[in-house]
Amino acid sequence: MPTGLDQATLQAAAEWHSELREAGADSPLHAAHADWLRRDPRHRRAWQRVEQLAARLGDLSVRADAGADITVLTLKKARHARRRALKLTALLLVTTAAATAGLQSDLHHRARADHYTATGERQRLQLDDGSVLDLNTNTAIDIDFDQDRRRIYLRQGEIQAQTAHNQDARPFSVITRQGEIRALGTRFLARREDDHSRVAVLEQAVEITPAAAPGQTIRLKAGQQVRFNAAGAGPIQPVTGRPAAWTRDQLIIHDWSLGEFLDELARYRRGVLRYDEASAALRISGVFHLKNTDALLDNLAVTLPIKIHRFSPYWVQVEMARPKGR
Amino acid sequence: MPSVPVTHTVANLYHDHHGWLLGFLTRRLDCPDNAADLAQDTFLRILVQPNAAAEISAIRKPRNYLATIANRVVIDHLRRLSIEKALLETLAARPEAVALSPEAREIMLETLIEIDTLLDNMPERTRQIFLLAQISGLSYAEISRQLRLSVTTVRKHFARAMTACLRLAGD
Repeated sequence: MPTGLDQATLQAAAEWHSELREAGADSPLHAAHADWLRRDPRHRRAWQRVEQLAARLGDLSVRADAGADITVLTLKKARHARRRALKLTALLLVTTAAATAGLQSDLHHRARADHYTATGERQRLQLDDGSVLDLNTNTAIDIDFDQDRRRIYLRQGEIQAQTAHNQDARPFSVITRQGEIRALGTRFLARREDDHSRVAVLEQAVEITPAAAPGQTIRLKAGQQVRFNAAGAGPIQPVTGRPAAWTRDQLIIHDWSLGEFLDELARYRRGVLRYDEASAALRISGVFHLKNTDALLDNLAVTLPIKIHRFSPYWVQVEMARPKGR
Repeated sequence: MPSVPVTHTVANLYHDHHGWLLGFLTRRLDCPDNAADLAQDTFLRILVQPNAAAEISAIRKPRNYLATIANRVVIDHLRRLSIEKALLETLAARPEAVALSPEAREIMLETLIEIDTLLDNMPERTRQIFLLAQISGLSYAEISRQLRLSVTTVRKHFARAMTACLRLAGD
């Protein structure tokens, strides 16, 4: 991390910048800001960084007529083109599908994440305050503890958080793109998907605040789970099965469709795992070991009427077995 | 820790894995000439990082390590290509011709790449608000009308984006 300044100071500087840009010349904010600057050399350093950044970005609009438009349009276009290119590569390079498809977002997350796991990997972290975090497959987090708060940013994937039973008064929360999950002395799972987050509480309780609905707080007790996005939460549902079994490298399920099961399994495997509609509808229950998913698939083919086709180590297709005589 | 000369270790890496890295990159790109350049860039990036000696002597799985760095090189390469192309298109599509000297264009390109990198991990909405406020210079009120959000929400997104940028920008 290139920064020698703590998150709280940078955040404060950004807040000042966001307030001052619309404050009139006679606003009392200016005096308050000057006070803030005087208080701490770190404040001054952070503010310097704001000014440098603003100057660099501001340069753009000076450089060309209507430079701002050019900037915004260009960035939009480039991003769009890259997204399309990525999808295309994923289709073309079957053997490296695993690496390519997830690569872009994956690496970006990892390059900046404090801790991460690769696909199929699991990791347990003992934090300074005595809390324990388990990182499931393909997960990236940042840890941000200061005097006032303990915050875990879940960038990608899934974690189990067990907060310590001690008298640490700082609130402990997990933050995803969709909102904040505040622990109330607890053990819970947080999982981040593309457009929503999922929380399942195993002990005690948590409070969820969606990012764009700060007034709406959802309290979730042990044995309950919920999905939420930035705007709000879905219905609260009971926890079924053993959602934390992955912390022991197991997947424990009861009466899932094979489609759901394979989607879940795919998280632990590199490459593509596809299935046809007929096989997706089969039902499945059991305890499965995640350490060797290839063996797991082979075993499935013994107990279920399916065939496993392997086009490459990274491309596996599950199909309904044809009835005899055809 | 024994002090191993940097060049010595990088030389080993290069000797043992350059061929493999070339293959790895070729599979990821459509042009083999680019692969050779990017392989060089990968080794260069390993050499110029701060604490290169310590980093390199701590490598346990050289190919995983090379692949990680190489992937970043590829991402940066694709970023540059896409932005360069998009910039040319945007300039060409403007009704009034925008005359930019090659130097000015190069500087603009570098700045765009920098901004794009800063915006990478931001949620779509936050990124959009940041661009409208900081680059296009719109007021919160204008943005809030355009995106149908409250002024407070707009300001919050903006402050969040700024924090993220400050974090990455360094002194």
